[in-house]
Amino acid sequence: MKKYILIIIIAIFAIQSLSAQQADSANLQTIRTQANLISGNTRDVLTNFFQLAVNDLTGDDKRFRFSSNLFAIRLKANDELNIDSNYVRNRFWRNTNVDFDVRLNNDFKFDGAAFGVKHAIVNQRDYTISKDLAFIYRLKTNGLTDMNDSLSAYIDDALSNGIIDRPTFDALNIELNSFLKDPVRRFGTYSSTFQAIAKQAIPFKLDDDFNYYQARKSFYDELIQAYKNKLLWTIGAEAVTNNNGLFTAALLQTQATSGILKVSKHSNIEFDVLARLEMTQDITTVKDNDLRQLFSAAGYLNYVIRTFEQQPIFEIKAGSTYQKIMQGNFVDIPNEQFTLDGGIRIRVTKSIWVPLTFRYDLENANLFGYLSLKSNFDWLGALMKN
Amino acid sequence: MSKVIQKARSKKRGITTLAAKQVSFSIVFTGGAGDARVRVKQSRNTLHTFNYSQSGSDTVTLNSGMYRILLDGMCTSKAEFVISEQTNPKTPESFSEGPIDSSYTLEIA
Repeated sequence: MKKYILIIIIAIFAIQSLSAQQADSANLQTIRTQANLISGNTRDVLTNFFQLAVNDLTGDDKRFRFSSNLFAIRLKANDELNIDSNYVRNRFWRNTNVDFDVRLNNDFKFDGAAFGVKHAIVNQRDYTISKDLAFIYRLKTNGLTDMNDSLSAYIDDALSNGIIDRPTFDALNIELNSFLKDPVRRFGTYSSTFQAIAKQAIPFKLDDDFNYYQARKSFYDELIQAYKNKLLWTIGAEAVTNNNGLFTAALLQTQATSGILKVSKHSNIEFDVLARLEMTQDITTVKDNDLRQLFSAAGYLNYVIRTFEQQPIFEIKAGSTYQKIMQGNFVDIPNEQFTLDGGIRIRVTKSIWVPLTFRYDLENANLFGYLSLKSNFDWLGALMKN
Repeated sequence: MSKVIQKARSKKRGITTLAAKQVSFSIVFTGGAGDARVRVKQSRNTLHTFNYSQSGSDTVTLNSGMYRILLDGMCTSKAEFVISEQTNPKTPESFSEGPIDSSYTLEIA
């Protein structure tokens, strides 16, 4: 029985890391993105893309990896797409990412490739196209905006009433704009004249530490954070070929994530649901047509704790997974399995997480904990790289 | 405020010629949506208000005198605001993601 369980773990691990298989070695490879492409007309961009591919494929690694958002690629050929009206219109392109990996062997012959595409069907987290954001922001910051009105009016009055001369007016105007835009400078550091005008113009006392821009920005950031808790639903497909160009693995996946409960300003609970269909050629036989089809569906609740800067630092995950081998049960393991899963992730640096996961097999009533080897390798490798 | 007082104030500042000028405002949001309000004021009076929920421009005719142009709003990526006449501070002025606030003085000779 233990043997079967071990096989299941390895199978699950292998499926979950299908797309990440290339990511492991990707740490050692250069992954090209749209940033590597030059701007120009469509022909220039395409030419540059193929030059890049040829350079990489004829380089030491004999491998070309490319990962990008479709909109970002189009932007290289037409920067007017970035203007808001065009930007909002190009929803499909903005919500679609592609990546691929092509390899040559030492004789410069085709050695296999991997392709992936991911599209966000629903992306409520994209605040850059939100119609409500500006409206709510204006409502929340009306009081602060009045400060600009009052200060400007007092400075204008002071000039027109002869209280200040033109050079003083110009100097105060510079201070006013610094007061409005400088993200660092504190109110207490402005000239006594400006502070005196502010005390008359603004009906409440400003602390020496007050910063107008930061006060407005904090409202903005708070609204943006709310968007990060909204629904994101994606679909994706990946495929891997061998050196003959035949598909050896394919994956179809859909995933939905959304915050459902805000526990506090720094923590919330979100759900994560995913379903995937995995098709792989069996590696334990030499037959070409032995295809394994495995369907899995999982649902999780995720409790996230964030820092003051809203960066997640700690996550606890609990849920369950159902999986069924629809075809190609070559090692005679159970066709269906239902497990309870959980895990903890702790952030050790900005980009490195240490995960600890466990899985409970309901049918076999066997509890075992393990450190995800792949994940451990990732964070350890990244840590060493840093 | 009456035009007589405005004229008197203009004289006080040494401006003696009276002329009307067309002044254009334009704001362009890139990389995402934005929202802005432009108000043209003179001596606390609001003469014109323009609201932009997307990139746009407007033109007004202003007589000689000193004007205050207030800009406020937000952008989710980048914005650039341009006034066709010389102002203090100068335009074009660019804003990155977050609040948009500025207070320009415009003097029409």
